[in-house]
Amino acid sequence: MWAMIQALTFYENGQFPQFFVYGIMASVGTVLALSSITQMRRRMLVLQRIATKVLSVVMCANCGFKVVRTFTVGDFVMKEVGQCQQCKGTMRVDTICAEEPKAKKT
Amino acid sequence: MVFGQQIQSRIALMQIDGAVRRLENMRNDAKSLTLKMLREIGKSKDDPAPRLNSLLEQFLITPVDMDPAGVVKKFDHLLDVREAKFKSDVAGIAPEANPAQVNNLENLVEAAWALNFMYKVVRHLYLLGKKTFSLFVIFQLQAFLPLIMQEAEAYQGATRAFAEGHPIGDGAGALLAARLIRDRERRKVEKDMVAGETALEGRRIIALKAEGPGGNVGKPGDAIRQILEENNGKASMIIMVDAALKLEGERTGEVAEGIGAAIGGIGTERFKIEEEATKFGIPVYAIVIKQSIQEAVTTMKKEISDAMEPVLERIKRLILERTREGELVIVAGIGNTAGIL
Repeated sequence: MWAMIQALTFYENGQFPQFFVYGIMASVGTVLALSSITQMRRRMLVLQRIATKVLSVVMCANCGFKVVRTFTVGDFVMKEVGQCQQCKGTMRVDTICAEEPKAKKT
Repeated sequence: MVFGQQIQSRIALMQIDGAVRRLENMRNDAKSLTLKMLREIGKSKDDPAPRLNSLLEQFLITPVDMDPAGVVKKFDHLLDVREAKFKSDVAGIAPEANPAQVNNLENLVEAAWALNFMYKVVRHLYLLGKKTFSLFVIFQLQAFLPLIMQEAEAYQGATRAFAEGHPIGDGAGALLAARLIRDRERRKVEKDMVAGETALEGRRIIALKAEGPGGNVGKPGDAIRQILEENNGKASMIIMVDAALKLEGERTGEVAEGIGAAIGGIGTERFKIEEEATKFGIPVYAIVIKQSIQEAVTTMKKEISDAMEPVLERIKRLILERTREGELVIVAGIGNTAGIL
């Protein structure tokens, strides 16, 4: 920013060699800043993907009572996980799926 | 002009250098995670690192195809030997792991192997380009880099899924078969597969899938052959359900229907299914669930598990429209059954 202001000042004063030097400095700085912002965004996207939540949907085959909870190691689809609170039927893991982080509304 | 090319090549080399570093990090992360899981689950007394390193360098020499007759059998045999050795090596490093955990660990080691292989190939081409300063080597590598990195990121995601035992997108077919034979008696069939029988409006349906819940794809070709032999080839239809790669712009979880054996891999299983279907004159139908390469090897997305209902509807429609009461239909759920019993 400072180099850009300097460049503009030199341009207004008609000092073209200095204007070119500061102009190049300002351009390189801008490119570097933009590139690091892009890199940061990319890294954040990767982190977001890693932070994806995995859910286990547990369901009673008898009455259809459904519980959605966070996946725990050892869960697998069709695993029996106890009795249904409503009808005492067998509760089973019906689905295990990744929940994408909600996209921000603009 | 010449100077411009030099600058372009330097910029391309800088980009490739960055990608090589990222691939190296991904490879190292996958290796550390694999070692951690081997120590935690396997509880080996010896250090698993040297044996893991040797597994990561394993290779397969494909059979000679100058005389192609019988090459599928040779390939199948080599793949059987490779799988058996890989599994026994992993079981050796992780002596306390149960069979399902061994299967998951094997998949985890394979994902680390793939990342190691990609890193080494890209590094080789990068160093070759740098050494010879050949524009064609450099630019070709730069052109393919986004696709290579996409695949590498997919394998990186796969390591977490296999380490924790999540179902992956590729397991869509296995999930469908598991739902069809829910609460039904299952029996083991050839090879590493399970089959269960159900019925729909008077039609017998035998559904099969790989044996879970460990990461496993089984050998659906052998299983279909066994079931056809048991029923004297009297099946009216084979329906294969599998995950398929979507094109950019297509929706994840989209269901499509076609003709033929829907199964990926090197082609040996497809060959067996096509042989058996042709021998007995059985029509083969395919139903696929669309997804990207990343989605196929990472934890199953909700859109994919939600696609089970439309797939079931299509299977029902196909069976009711094209078979009569009392006939037999084979439904093969293809794919990795990690996290699915």
